[in-house]
Amino acid sequence: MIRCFRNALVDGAGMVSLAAQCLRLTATGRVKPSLVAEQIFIIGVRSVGVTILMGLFVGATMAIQIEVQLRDFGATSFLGGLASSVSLRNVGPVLIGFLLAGKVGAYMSAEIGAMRVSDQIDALRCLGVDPIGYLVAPRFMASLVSSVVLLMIGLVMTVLGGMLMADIGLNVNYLSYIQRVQDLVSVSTLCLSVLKSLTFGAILSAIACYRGYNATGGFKGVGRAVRQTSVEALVMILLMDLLLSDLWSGWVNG
Amino acid sequence: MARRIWRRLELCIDQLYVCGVESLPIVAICVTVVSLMLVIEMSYHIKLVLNQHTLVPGFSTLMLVRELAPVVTALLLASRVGAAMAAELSVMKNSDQIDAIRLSGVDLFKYLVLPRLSAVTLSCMALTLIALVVATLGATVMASNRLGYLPSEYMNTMLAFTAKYDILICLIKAAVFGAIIATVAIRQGFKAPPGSRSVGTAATNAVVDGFIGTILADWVITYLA
Amino acid sequence: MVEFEGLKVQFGDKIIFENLSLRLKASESVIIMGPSGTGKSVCLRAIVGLVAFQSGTIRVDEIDLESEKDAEKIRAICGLIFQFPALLDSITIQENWELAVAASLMRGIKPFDIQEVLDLIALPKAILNQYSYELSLGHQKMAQMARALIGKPKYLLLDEPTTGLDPILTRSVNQLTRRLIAQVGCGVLTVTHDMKSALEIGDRFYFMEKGEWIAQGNQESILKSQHSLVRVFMEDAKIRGWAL
Repeated sequence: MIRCFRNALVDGAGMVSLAAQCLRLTATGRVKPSLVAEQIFIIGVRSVGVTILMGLFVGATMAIQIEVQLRDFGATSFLGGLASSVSLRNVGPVLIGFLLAGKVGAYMSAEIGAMRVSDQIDALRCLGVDPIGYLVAPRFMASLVSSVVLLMIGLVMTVLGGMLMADIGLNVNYLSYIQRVQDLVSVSTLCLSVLKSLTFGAILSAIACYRGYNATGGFKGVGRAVRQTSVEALVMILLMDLLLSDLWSGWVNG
Repeated sequence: MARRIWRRLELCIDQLYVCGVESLPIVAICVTVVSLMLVIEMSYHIKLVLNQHTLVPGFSTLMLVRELAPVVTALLLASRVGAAMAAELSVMKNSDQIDAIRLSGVDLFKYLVLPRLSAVTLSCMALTLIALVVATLGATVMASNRLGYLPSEYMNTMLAFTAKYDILICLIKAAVFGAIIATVAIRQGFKAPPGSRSVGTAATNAVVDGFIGTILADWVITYLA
Repeated sequence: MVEFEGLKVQFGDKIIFENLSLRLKASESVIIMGPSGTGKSVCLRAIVGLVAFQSGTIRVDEIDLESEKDAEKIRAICGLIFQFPALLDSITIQENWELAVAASLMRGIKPFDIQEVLDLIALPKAILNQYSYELSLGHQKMAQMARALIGKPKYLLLDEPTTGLDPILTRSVNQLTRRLIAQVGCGVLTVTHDMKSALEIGDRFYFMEKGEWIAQGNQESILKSQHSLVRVFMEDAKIRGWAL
């Protein structure tokens, strides 16, 4: 049990340090922008469709749930605001974050892991090329940028999905839905959404790249790295979600 | 006859252990985290709309039971169990074990698919319930710290709000999600093309398709309820 | 000269080998042989600092391997060829070689250019635009070798260079190796279990079993050896048609 905790700390430190290295290399201009752009294109094209789809359905589901609860109090007019607020602040970032951890995160860790177990990373070291600068950092930056952008697209879709659901299925006119959104969704909610998007994007990129980079043991090791990425990213997203919500409400209220 | 049933049960129990028991700590922790988050967020939202605290236990518990507990459990299972199952089955397919089983006359469906399918479905339901219990305890603690509730007060309000119908929906969702995750994982494993690279792809696809299936099914069930 | 003395490598609880010593001079060809999984490849990786060692010394041309900086200096003069071709599969062969050219320039070495390398390994020009996974294993190994040669290394560490190759390609690889030793003056350390090729290119031999040298010496003494493991490898070479 203690060993488990200790390993988690070591790995966590490793992830943070890898992420920091990637950021530093990018900031000092030692990462080729064309490599990053290429990766962003690959990731984005793969994931944008699913993200939009998920966003719509998560938003729709939230609208239904909130409507049921509000109906008991006769407060259904608040539907637009409340559903959107919940989707944007919590359910949206978390569930879409999960999706991206599965798609983007798993893809990244599989790619980097495959390179690790086929000795490509060691070969680069032998040539005198820094593998982190050449292979990992562009992928980390691409993963970071893509996940953040995709997350935000997904969040917008949740609002849209809720609105469509309300209009088509729940007898709440879409105009009044939008009106309520403007009333109840505060600037601080939007800020929290953006903050969560940034954080979750960073978390899943760091975990994916670290696990991929340190994969051992042939193709079985790659599978292990991918699985670890998915699970760890989910857990960390949930924990950070709690932390951020807690800190934010404390900061805003007091 | 009895021996055959026992052997099938054995396979199922084996799978159950791997999925269910080993996933319990993570699922419990995660759902608890979600419930804590719900307490915080619900108090914020309810203040927006109704300006009082009394509805927090009800709203947050309902959201947890009807929606988030089954979904989060399912997504976690998809990542852990779904990926592993897809990888395992695609390795079996690549190393011809599946063909070997077919040739020896054993029914693939009953031997490989059914135990896994039922194990995941049952685990998903059980894990969701257990996690729910742990999570509501956690929420009670949180609420008494943050919102000044008495634990007993909180629990009573919670129970008052939660109808048997809600728990039924929760279980149905968990069962359906479990079945979807298992089906997706098994299908990805079986259709993996030869080559070691495709093992990773199969696992990743199993996770992502499991997520998508879960979210879609969630919407459908929520709509019908 | 490449040498290590008293070398011990341990992964976790498992000791791969301890107290191992070896010496390789320029223009010399040394072969490490032995059954699979005994840690032969680990020796090569340790020399260029890819694997940490727990005790002993590694020295290459007056550079003592003690830190990552030393490793970098050693890597500039030692080329390592991996058992499974470690070409980057996200870029074409030409881009792989261009990367090696750029890396050598950064190290202050004047490298071969692409055309020279292509002539050296005698592969068709068409491979330049292909990706490593589109090539056969033999061509991949040759392309990997070419990449290592771009930096004009003084020593070459080859990990099973002929494993998996057909006899024609095996002969090409062996001819290339002999040319590098004779004309360029490379010191070559080869890990292999292809006895026939080893006898073709090797001057001195080390046989490893369970982490220890169980036989050492030049071709003559090996051919006369009575050790059971060496005899097994000899038998294998006989079956493959080597006249002993």
